[in-house]
Amino acid sequence: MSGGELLLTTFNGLSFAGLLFLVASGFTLIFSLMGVLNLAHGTFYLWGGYIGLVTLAATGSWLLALLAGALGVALGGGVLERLVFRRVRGMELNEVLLSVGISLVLADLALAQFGGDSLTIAPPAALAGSIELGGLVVPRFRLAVIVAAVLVMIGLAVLLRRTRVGAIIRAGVDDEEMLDALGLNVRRVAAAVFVLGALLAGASGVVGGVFFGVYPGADAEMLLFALVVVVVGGLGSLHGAVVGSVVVGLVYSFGVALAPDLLYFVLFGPMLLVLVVRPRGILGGRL
Amino acid sequence: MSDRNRNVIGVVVLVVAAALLPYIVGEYWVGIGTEAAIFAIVAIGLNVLIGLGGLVSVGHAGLFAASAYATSLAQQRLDLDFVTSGLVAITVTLLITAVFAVAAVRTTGMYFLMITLAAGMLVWGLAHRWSSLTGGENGSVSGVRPGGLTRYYQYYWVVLAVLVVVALLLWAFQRSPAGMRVRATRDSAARMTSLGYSPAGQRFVAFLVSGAVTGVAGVLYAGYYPVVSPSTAHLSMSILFMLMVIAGGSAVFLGPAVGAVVLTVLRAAVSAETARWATVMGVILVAVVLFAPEGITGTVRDRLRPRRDPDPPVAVREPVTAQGQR
Repeated sequence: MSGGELLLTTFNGLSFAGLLFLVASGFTLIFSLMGVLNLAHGTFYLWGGYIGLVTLAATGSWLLALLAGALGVALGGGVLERLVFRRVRGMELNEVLLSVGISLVLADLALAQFGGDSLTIAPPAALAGSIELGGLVVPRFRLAVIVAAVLVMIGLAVLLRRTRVGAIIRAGVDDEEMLDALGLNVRRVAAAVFVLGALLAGASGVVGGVFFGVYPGADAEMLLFALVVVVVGGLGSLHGAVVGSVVVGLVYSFGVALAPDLLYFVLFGPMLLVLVVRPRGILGGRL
Repeated sequence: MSDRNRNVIGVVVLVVAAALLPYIVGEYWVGIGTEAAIFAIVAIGLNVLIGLGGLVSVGHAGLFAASAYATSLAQQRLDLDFVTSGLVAITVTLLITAVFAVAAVRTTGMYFLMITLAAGMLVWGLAHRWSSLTGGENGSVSGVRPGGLTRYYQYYWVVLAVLVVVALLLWAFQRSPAGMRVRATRDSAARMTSLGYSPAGQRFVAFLVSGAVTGVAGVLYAGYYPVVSPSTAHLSMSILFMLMVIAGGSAVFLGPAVGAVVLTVLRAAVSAETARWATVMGVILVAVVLFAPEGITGTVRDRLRPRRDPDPPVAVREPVTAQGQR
């Protein structure tokens, strides 16, 4: 591997890490407040991609596609939270099983509607093509994903640390009953966080559609990546999601370049190692 | 007649009825019956973790597929016969189970579920990608059966006999000191620790027993099906196994076996009509969680036998929270 290839592989890894962060941050956010391990998160991602694809074909506007994917999934997530998840609130295992059931149905409906082929989302015209960056020629879109991920990260950090809503969310993570006793509507906060997580999943589905295409099975793959990210980084921790995304993004990128046959092994090796040494992840703990 | 005698007689009648199946239905449904019996073995094995251990694994398809692949490869590459290749496969599966277990047993609840899910997907990924070994998407040729027992109905009897033996062994395990320790760890890990037992150690034992049984089922599956493909290891298969346990009822010893039979037959019937089996499975899962969390057998038992004790003792269980949370 030459110096240039090394740099390019690193760059690709970082841009993939950006996408991973968009997916995993919503996943970890939902878990930290609601204690729900939402295994339908990958399916939310997939539906975001499909909604974006349809909107793009209908309107030709990439921005609208992104918005539709994000808001459509956020709306669907909100409805599911209201109708299904709320009924088993607090029963962790049942919540997980429900999310599994929902993801099975939603993924199957997507298959019925859109077929089994991989459909690609074209990048927006402004971000098509490549750009030279310090002697390295990189696709503009991938660069934009890194920038977007950093912005989302800053946005989430500000939301959680600097705003009243963030203070309520953090308080809910620490002591939900106390918050309830203080007269705050914890359910509504939890629902809002769930919708925010779904929104991020939907938006990343559109972005991921440009990276890899939208196809049946993308949901399970992305869920798996998100799981590895949060296990490595630490579930329920925003910093953990950042660290996990970068680690997994780079490992994946170098794995593809060096040992494609053993890719999964390369990916899971670090995860198993982290689990044995630190079962709660590198930065496991709280938001 | 005591409850116990009635249960024993009921099970014997069921086994005899199952053994007579080839005289009643044709080859297709005996095939489905064979599959159901294989899945029943997986389900009662998985229930060692879910029911006895209180640990939900969503990675058992990985162990099942690992065993089936190992059987197939031992037969194709090393030219071994059914029994020898089966023993090799069970050994391999036990080793892989040990790796799964080392990663998972220090956790419970959500973390356990997540780790087993990821570990199971690892097997799927390897089966999928490591094509020089596994044949990739095309799968690996299997279907070798024990000599003299190759006809479809003979093989069905073999599988049924193994199911009975495995069920008896697991029944004995459940009542053995080791099984009691697994159950005690489920109910209160803290008390087990204060008694000088390692909770992780008990979970490790439960995982190994569960993995060994799943390995046995994987060997039988390799004999039943002409090809082992990556889809055997897929997440949806792990979910199906888990659903069998939960829909059947994890609190009743043979509940998971009932779930396995019901779901296998249902899958065959639904798949003949429509390609939307996954939707049906998802709806069943949601319905079971919302309306019958005790599963089929648990619900039936509660209906048939109103509790004699008006104020039944409530099992004292520590709240199962994910480690690292709160």
